Amino acid sequence: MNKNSENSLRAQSEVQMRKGMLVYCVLLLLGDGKVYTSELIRALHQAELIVVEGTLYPLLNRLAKDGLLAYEWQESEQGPPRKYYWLTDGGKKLLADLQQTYHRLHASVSALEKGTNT
Amino acid sequence: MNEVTKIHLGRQAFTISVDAHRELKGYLDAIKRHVSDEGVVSEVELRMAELLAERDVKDEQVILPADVDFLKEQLGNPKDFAEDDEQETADQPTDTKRLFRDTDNAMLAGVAAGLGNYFGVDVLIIRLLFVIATFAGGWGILIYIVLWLLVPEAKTSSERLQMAGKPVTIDSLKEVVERADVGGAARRANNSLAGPVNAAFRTLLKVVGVCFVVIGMSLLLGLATAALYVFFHNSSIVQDNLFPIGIKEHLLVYSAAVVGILLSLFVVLFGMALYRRKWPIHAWITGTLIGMTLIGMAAGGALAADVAPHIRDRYNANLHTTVRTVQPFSAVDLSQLGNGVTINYETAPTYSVSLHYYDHPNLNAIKTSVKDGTLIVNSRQYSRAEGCNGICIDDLYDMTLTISSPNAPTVDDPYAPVPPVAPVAG
Repeated sequence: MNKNSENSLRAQSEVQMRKGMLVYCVLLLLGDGKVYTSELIRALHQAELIVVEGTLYPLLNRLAKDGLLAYEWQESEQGPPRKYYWLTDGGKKLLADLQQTYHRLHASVSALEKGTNT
Repeated sequence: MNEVTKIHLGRQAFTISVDAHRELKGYLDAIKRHVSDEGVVSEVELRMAELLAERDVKDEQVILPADVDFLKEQLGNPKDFAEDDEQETADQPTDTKRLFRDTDNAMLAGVAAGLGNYFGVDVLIIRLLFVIATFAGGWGILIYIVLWLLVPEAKTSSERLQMAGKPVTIDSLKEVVERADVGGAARRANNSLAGPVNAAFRTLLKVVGVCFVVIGMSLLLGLATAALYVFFHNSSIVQDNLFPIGIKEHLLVYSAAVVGILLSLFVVLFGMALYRRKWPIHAWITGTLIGMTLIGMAAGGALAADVAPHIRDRYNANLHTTVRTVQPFSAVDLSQLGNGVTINYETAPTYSVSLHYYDHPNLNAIKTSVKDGTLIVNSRQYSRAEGCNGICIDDLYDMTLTISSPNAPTVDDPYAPVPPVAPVAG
């Protein structure tokens, strides 16, 4: 309709898309082994998956509570202690599941894109 | 803005400017409202410490408001910390208007400005109402002080937003921070009517403030004088007969003195507050003083209730009447009546003068004699002060004379009380 609602719709969709990808990407990043919070944030920032950090803390908290992530505190030489996260077996399974889902989704979206292009 | 304070963030000590501390605390509190798990908050604090370290804010450096703004930008809207979307919407109603004292637009403590914000009315109207209520029996001042004590000040940006009934978001927070410097001053300057009226209010506040300080100081001085007087009279407050001095009575007087001094002090403080437009002492000192006043009042009240019946008994026990029978008379000469003597008339079968008095005054000072059928009452020698040492209640030592005769006598003194037309006896 007007420009404003169009803009807000776009912003909303973008936020929703990123939000949907967030869990998967966090699990992906943790797939490499022990990662501490700030590293996660940096990587997600670079991938433009998060704009502000606020959204990440509740997510990590939730995943840890559900037993998908394990964590430990480690002293750091500079600055405050760091919280290192890694995947539990449950987390690894979830990662594999999501990976499958994502690839299927990616394939169908790609197919649709190709369809519209031709 | 050089004031700084120390805080701990993620187990690290930081020096932070007072302004920045206020902002940071408001922000952390907002996050806490959205987060159910304390662990998240401590993690956020850790992250803050880390971010600050990355900004080279450590050890000697002071955290400034700009640093806090940076943290907010990085970490995001407190709402983002909500665990899921349902909770986010459930939290919306907390963004409704709240009553705060608006010290940014305050004349005195921001009570009127805060009420104006809350009810969406021009501050000027609220102030006028307070002034009117003050002249109508002093209620204005009382209500103002109560609200001053009860209503919190809007200290953080988020509280200022709540005061205006706006949702607390990053954007709205930014708006407040920017407007606080420019917008507030501009808004005040723009209101052409409010300008001179507000200036008049300010002057009025100062004048009233000075009056209060003077009154309070006089009260303090008066109490100090009274205390010295009592001290030099061996604690004899009122004559011992009326006021038998025991431990309870001593305590009663002391608590009355303490309460009096404290109340006078509050008058002075209130005057200073009106003048400086800021409560002059710390909240905890104010609280202590109020507590002391209340304790003093309670103790004084309890003691007074305990002591009062004894005083009344003493008083009654010390009321005496002496009857002097005199020669028959048909006229009364009161031209030599002194101070402190009241005359009553009574119809009685005999001629007499009854003296009603308190304690043991010098009765010889009251001379009653009948000469050529005229009763002469001479009380010029009588002095109320004679029977009393310490602080005297004059009326207490007033003497009442009842003149009794079968027929109403004539009174030659035109200034003396006229006897009632008494019915002829028999």
